[in-house]
Amino acid sequence: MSADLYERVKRDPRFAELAKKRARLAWSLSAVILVIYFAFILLIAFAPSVLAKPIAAGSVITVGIPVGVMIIVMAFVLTGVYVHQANTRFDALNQKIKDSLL
Amino acid sequence: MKQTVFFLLIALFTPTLWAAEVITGNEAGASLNISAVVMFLLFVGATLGVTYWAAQRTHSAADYYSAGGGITGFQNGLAIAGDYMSAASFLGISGLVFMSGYDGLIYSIGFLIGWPLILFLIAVIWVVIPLLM
Repeated sequence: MSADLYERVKRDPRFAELAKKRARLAWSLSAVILVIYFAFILLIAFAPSVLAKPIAAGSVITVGIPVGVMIIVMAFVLTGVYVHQANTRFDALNQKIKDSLL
Repeated sequence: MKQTVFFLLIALFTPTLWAAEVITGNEAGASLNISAVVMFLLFVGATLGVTYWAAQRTHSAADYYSAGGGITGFQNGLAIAGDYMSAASFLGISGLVFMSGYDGLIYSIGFLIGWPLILFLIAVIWVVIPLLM
């Protein structure tokens, strides 16, 4: 790719749109996962008794285990959301920019 | 490709079997745990075998550094996932659970949260870098 082509891609309004949309989605998903994670960590730090309760009377499994598993599942789900958006919306926009400039 | 998946599966499960053997084995300390030694040698042998097989197929610098550019996204994902999981689960989690019981499992949440976060942040940087040039 030549420097000239870089300039043309940078000036393309659709490239600015792609960059903006992608950044917005990525920042929001980062915020979601950070809020979930730090809520969990702060709960452990300040109210450990909440998570230390047994899941049922006489059970050795505490509430913390299913909550932890749910957080791990959330990590997979949010990755799936991003990959789906990238495969459908972003790649299509990317291809359009490439097709018109190359 | 099938061979690669096969060896990846071996590499994935062998240390698990080996670790389970050490935990359930009755011989404590002094006596020689034959099955553990055999599994260890098998694992190292399989790794060397894969390396030799891969080296046979390497003919140029491009092959050496980037596998000739022929690695698909899925294969790359498998490699990253394997690397990440083996370090975290076989070193980190087993060590933490040994030290502090099941509370150590919190580590698995920490690194799993870190992964999508890296993905998202790279997605942001990927579009910011060309704008800065």
